[in-house]
Amino acid sequence: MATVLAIPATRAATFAAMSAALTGFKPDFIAPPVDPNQLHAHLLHHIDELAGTTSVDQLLAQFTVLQAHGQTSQQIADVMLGISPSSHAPAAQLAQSIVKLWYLGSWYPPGSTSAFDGNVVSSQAYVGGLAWRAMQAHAMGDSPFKFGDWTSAPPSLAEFGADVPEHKS
Amino acid sequence: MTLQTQYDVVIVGGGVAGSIIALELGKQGKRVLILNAGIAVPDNRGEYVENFYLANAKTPESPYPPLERALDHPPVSSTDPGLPGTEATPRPTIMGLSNWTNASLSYLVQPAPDPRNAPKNLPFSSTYERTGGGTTWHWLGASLRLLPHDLTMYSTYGVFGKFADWPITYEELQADYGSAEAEIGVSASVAEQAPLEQAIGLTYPPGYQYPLDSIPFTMVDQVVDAGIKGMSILDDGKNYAVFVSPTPAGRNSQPYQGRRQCAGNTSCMPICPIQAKWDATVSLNHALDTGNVTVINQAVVRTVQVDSSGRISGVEYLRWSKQTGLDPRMPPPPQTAQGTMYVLAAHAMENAKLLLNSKTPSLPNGVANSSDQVGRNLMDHVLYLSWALAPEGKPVFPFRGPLTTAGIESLRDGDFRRHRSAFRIEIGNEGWNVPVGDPWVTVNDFINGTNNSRLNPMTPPGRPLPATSPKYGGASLVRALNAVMTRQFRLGCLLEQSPMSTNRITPHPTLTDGLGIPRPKIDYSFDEYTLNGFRAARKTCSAIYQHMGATEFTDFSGRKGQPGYFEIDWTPYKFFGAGHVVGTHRMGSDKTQSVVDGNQQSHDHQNLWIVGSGSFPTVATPNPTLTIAALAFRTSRSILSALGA
Repeated sequence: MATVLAIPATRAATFAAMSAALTGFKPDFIAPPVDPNQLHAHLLHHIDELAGTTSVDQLLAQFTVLQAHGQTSQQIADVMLGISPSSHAPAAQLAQSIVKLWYLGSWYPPGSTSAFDGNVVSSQAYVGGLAWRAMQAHAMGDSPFKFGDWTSAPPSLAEFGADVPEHKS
Repeated sequence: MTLQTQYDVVIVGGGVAGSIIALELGKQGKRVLILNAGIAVPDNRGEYVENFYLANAKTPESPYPPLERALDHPPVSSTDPGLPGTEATPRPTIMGLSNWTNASLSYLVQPAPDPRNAPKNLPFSSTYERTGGGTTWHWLGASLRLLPHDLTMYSTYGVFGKFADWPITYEELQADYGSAEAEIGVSASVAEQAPLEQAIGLTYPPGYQYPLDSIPFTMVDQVVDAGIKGMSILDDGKNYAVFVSPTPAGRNSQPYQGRRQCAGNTSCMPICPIQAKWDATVSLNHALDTGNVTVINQAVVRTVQVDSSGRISGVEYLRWSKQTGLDPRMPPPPQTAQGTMYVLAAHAMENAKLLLNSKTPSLPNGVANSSDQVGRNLMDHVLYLSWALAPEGKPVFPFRGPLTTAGIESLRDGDFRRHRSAFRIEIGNEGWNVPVGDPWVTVNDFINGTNNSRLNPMTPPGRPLPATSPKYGGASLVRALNAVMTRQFRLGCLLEQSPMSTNRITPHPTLTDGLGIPRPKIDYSFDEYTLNGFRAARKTCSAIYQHMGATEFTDFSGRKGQPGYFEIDWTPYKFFGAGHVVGTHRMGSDKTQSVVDGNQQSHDHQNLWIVGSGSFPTVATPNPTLTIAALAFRTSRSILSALGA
């Protein structure tokens, strides 16, 4: 984990803020104030290795500018992921790979369109995958719940960390 | 070299049957040797769980050695290590099945499909493990009993002349089912199973209770249960009730024998991270605790030896030290283990392979094979999968709880078995994981703006896919995924396959594993009886979805060329393996038509028992593990009796 600690805190914090906007999960879920796991720093370390720090820094700079212009999280996600047409394609593809990494724990090469192209970067990334939380569940093989919890509706999406209005299912 | 020790019983294989027989014999003070082909049972399962987390393809085999990582990342060259021709204990895998006609990647050697004569030359699609504890490492835990009619298919239904009666009755198995349910720790309630007595003839001895309370329904079960209330289907002029029953499960509803209560990890396959689900390593440990059982690991039995009087005189095995990169021309020196009695418990496929590989000039058909039935009647539960979205406003919240907790058992018997397969319907709690590859496929679709799952936008089969699909990010992505993923569920029909003597495993004449042992060559097809079962399964599942207001998405039209794809009535189908390999050394009372008797004792060799699901003359519809375990208790008594205990 020494390499993770070597990432400057401000860069990791910017990455966490950007990740929150791109994934639709709350900033304090992506990087909790007390966070022994440091999943965001762990993922950033992998992304730096896989995509190169220069590309990552460009993406972080784009996020900082959009944020400074008062864009909402959803507007930032739409621009950076190429949903709004203004984004630069290679940057949008890298942003998509980062969202997939957060959701599935696997690295998909930027531009990949196959669901079977991914490589799991770590067990921590797999069990922390947001896809499971987006459906109010848990990674297969890593249940935080107990016997019989499955008989009734799970906690709300917001309680799973999603940045959506609170409402009980 | 011959081992100095003379054992009472030598057992080949330490899975369900081998472990339970070792336990029963060890308890009676008999000296038992188990030869386990794979590595020792690990001290803790953490490493296997980590393998699963790290696997890109989270297949049943993914946690277990030899790891298939080499096949995970195409392209694969024919010189890559980890291939079946260079491994000590290769086994069929899903990754191998994806390359099923390529014998350098698939352990089972299977012929290419015959497009002029479909569905012939189908890929045998089930997998198994060759390690201590066997395939129960990734069994589902479904602990269903056979039905009385399952043991009398020939005399009750007389279908197609191919079905054989079992030489034992359901009544004779009742007590052994009780022993098996106690050993496994089955969670179920006799009262909840009671409606199945009238529907399909399932009975229990008076006053019988399962050892553990039943597992409560998941939300998927609840929605299906409520949605099909009062439903029935018509077949050949008769009405059959369709209703949901809790599945008796080999997983703990409360702590049992030192193991924990199920926490709903939704990964019974490929691995329960907390061992709340029983597996054969539990019984293997109990066997070792008797102090009378010895295990030799990494010992692959190559041949069974027979003396001039027709008794088994030893088994020859190869001890390996390195799993991959072996040269099959240079096997390790053979060793011999000897006992008074011998048990082959190596798996239906491996038992047949071993017997057939043991041929000599005086036994040209191989050992225990005067009937020529060894290796024949290879069967599986062929699995018909269908999938749907639950009605809007009725989310089922999959991926919480065990992989399955209930099923539709009421269609497992009926007069329709004269002309088509019966089936049980397993209600799946893992969304579209198996049929579609979710959550990976739908998550990628929603980020990429593609539509491989037909959910982006929602386009049920039969409707043309829109030219473009939206992309999502941020909170919109969460909401879009949540709206569809929480409604995903699937039904799996386990179809009974009719026995066919032409469906068989034989040793391949030239292709071997890394120890130089001939590998299984497979011939496998479906007959009209099984195809009729597919037609009925499809119709029944669609009727269920319609009755409950679910939107069905089952569609195999884009899967031509994939293993298990076939067409009937110009309709595309795909079958999956259930891992329930059956029939290769079937039991019977007629020694010209069967390999073992009702005690799983060889007709040909008095001191040999050949055990496991290979002994089943019919596959019927229940998952086989409980019956393998029950028969192991029966066989233990037979061996003890032969030993003069």
